[in-house]
Amino acid sequence: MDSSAPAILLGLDPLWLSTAIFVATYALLISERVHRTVAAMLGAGLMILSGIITQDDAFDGVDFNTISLLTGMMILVGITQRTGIFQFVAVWVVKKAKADPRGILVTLATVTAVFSAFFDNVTTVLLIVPVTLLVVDKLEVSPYPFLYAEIFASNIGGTATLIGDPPNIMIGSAVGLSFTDFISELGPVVVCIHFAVLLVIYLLWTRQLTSSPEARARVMAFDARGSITDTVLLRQSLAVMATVITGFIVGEHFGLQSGSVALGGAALLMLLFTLGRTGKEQSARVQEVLAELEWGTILFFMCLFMMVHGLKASGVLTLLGQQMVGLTGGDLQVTAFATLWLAATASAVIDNVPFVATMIPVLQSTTAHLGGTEQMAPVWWALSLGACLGGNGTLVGATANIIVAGFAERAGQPISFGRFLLLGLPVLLLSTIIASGYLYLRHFA
Amino acid sequence: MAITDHVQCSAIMHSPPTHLYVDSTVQEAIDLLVEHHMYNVPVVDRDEIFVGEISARRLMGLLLPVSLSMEQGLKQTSFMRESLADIKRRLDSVKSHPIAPYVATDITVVYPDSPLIDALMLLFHKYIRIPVVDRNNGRLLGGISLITLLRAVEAPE
Repeated sequence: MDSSAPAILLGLDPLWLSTAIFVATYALLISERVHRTVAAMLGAGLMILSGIITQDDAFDGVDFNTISLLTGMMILVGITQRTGIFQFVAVWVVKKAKADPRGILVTLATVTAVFSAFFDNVTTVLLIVPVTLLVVDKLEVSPYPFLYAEIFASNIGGTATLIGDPPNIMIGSAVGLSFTDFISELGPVVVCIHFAVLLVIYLLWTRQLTSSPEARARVMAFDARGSITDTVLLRQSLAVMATVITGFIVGEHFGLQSGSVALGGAALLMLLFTLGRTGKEQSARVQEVLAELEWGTILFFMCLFMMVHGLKASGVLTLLGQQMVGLTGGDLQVTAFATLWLAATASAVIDNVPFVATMIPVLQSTTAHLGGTEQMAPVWWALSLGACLGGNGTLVGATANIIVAGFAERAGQPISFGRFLLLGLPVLLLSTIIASGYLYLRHFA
Repeated sequence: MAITDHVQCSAIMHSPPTHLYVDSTVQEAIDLLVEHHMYNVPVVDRDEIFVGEISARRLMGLLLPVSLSMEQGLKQTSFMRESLADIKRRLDSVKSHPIAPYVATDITVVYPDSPLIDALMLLFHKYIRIPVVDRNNGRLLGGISLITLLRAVEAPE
């Protein structure tokens, strides 16, 4: 522990005190009685006030690369979504599928997966689900297969890239895994899982996925181009997104971290979004973009990092790491599979962000026992796969799930916790089995 | 009352107000709105206790696909193609439904003894008409709108 740290409150053992603060914060997070940002702020504050870490230590614990990447991507998606591109693509693929419910199921879910891989899952479902509800309403088919497929696709698609889901951002940043590492390692298995899950949904609802020619004609009358609100901004957004993704891929060769690339892209797109306007208009546009940023989420991440840093400083996480090595016998394969299944189970029930924030330092402390940083790679992939796919297990497993359930409720077709579980749990099981097989074949066979 | 006196809502409210019952149908609500050219109508239960309001905007929502009228629904609709038959089909499907689910119940009310300025601020910021209800039993007594106010101000002393 830092020698400059102040005296511990009442002379208590920092190991126990930090554990108590951590467990209490986790309990608040799980109970959902207190907003997650407030819970994390309390946890971080108590770590400092009780003298476990100093304020400077707490700030050192924050992974600002993750914070920058998260903030930068929020700005990029916030501006890009104004162009109507999400709806355009959704309507376009519906028409490409000739408004056939079976084709639409596959195309809309795949579009959801692809958008979730590059933008955040919540924004993706917020924009795709209303189009879906409109289309199924016109086709007079049940919305359920489509809504389930989109929930699963958003969590599965988000697993594929460094920027797809916050756990990947945290893992990539902490371990130094690049955009290319993620997509080449996880891309293939994500494609397999996505289509396997779609097949299950297709088989379950196959008989209901039909529609009359009149209903299909109503949907075919849509004109996708009507979705685009601003073609100039669309071109600018797509160009900046392409530049940012290129930056993610080549940046690592120039020592450029993903957080800088994302924030740089965000600055560039904000410049294009405001350029040539009067001072007053510029100010209004900047305010609008910044007001849409999820400041609560950003603060949540920062406080979580501080709290976990307190736990790490007091030696709890190293102790947990030692326990883990003891349980797995220091065997890499056992550790990887244990991590995968533990992460999948935990993330189905609790927010995967605090789970992954805690697991990263625990696993880092075991690196030496498992043969070094390079040998550890399968464990990190296991953590990413488990944490991201776990969100499909229950209705509260991921924010996107809750958003879709909210839409379903407002459309008069509610998705209950129990009903979701009936499908979510088998889907989680299937995807974790596929992920296990993939990890085995790729790293241990 | 002299025109310089402090005025309470009871002094200018119109009564009894046109209203609907919570078990009225959507069709009855439409008829009333069309007949009286009203954009929001107070709704009471069978004991005449004020429940809320049904607005033309809410009824308008029934003519739209639910994915457009819902919270966080579609904003950009230029890709859609709708016919009058589509709109009529949606209206026909709800005409016989009771209005209860569409009644907004979070309506701010004033009491007969409330200062008139409270009602005027509500009209300025939010509402077209403010219901006036009995402070004790919640019964609907009347309403105050811009028209009511103008009539009172313009009236000869």
